[in-house]
Amino acid sequence: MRSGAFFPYRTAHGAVMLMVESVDGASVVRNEQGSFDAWSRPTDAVRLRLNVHLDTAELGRAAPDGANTIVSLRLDSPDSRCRLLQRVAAPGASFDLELRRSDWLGTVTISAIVTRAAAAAETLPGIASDKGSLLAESAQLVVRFDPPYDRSGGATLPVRWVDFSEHPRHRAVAGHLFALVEDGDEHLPEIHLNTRFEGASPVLESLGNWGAKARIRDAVFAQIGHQAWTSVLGWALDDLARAVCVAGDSELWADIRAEMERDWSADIIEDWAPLLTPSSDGGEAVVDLVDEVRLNGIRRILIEDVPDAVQSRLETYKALTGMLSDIGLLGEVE
Amino acid sequence: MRLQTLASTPSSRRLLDHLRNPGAALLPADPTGHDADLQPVIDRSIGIVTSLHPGEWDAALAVELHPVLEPFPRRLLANLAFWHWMTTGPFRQFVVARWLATDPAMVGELAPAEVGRFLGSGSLNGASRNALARLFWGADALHDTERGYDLAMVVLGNQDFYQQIFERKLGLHPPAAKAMAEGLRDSSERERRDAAVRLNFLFSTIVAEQLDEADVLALLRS
Repeated sequence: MRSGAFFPYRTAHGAVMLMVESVDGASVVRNEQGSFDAWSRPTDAVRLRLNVHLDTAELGRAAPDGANTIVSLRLDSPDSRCRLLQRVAAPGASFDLELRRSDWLGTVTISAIVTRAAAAAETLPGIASDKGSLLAESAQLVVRFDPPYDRSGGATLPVRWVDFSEHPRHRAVAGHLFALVEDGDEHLPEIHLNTRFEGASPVLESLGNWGAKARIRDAVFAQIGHQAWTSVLGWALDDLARAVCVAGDSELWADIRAEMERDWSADIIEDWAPLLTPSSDGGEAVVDLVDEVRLNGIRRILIEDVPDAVQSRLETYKALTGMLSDIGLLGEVE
Repeated sequence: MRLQTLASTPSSRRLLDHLRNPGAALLPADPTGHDADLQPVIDRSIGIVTSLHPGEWDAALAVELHPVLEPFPRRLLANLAFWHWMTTGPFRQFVVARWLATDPAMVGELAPAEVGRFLGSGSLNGASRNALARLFWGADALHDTERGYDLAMVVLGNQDFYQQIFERKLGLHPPAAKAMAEGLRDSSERERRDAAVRLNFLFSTIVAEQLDEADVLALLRS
């Protein structure tokens, strides 16, 4: 993000533009934000053919003293614990930038910048004078080497992109969009999204809050979130019902919790109990839920309470509200 | 030894259970495809705990750990799941001794700050608190052929000094980190904090990556 308004001197951000002429690697997908996803089908390196355009007349506004300036690419990635400059030798000429996967983690932000090469001999009011002062910066380009997490309606369920055609568990359903996977008793189930699902990545990874992509994304995540949480809550309630039987006469939640087979299902029961027993006073929700399970079992909870609880927490109805409000963007509805 | 990453971040309760049972199986982890000769460093970490003053432990382990891990890809080293595996697996004994005030068997739960020493997010703050990531990245930014690990030992010997440098983005530019370590090594805590705030402000308009250590030292002294 540029912050020209906060500079204590004149800047000329419009003087420099960073353009992407081509991208090497079929796995790199340009999405609507001008970012590149280099994780859906990982390759060893991302190769960008870039061009930096410089408007020297415009730049002169920020450096009227004829200061020597340096044009560079700034690569910034706190995820990779790395920030560095790469000199652009000839603005206006195409050049290649190679980003090797082994060097980067998460997100890399790239911009073209113009800086003062040296400190000014004398200071002029409102004009940058320090060596390295930022005079101009282009819009940013983002390359993602890893998927951002927790953007799904799954809330706290971990999400991972997987090639279903190469995964032993998913090969038989290689055309599906998602799957829920159990990974032993100690871990929350994971949502796997299929990298082979044509066109899914740019839509599901879109960042916008309006427009067709955002609406489709929200609707798909609502579908995934409902299914995933219904399954996980069913699993946790089954574990609770079994623990209630094993704990016998004890009504203490601590005793019942200790009998549950999985840590994560006990955590989920505690977390979701207020939503599954909405008439309870806050602190009593787990006790009321245990009483309900002890007296009546879990069938009614699964059929009636779980859909309410998931809708309340994920607000999945908002996906439809959003689609209706953008109906003109999405096309005619009969 | 095969280097691994924790398959998922354990809850604080799961972490405590794990720490209470030193003989129990390690937390589930994924292979990284890299091997390192870590056993001498693990042995040394136990020797450090038994033979040195606690204030010297971090610096002593950093100079052992950094040269062994430095050759590995940044993609592995920047991944906090790797450090989660290191703190809860091979170096569990060191981290327990260094950061837990009480034997894990004697406490009901871990404080969030204690959990952060074993785990922590991938943010600058998280890496700066993880018991081993902080040693590696401190040593990585501050060592050079001329001074060796001298600056790293100065900074790792003072928790506040470390955080002033490495919980800011300027700590990701080694010449800036070195300039702060060198220029403020004899300063008071107050002076270091004020200087870090001022330098951070200057770097909002000056591109730090264009400056070498001497340039940053000049800014500190201006």
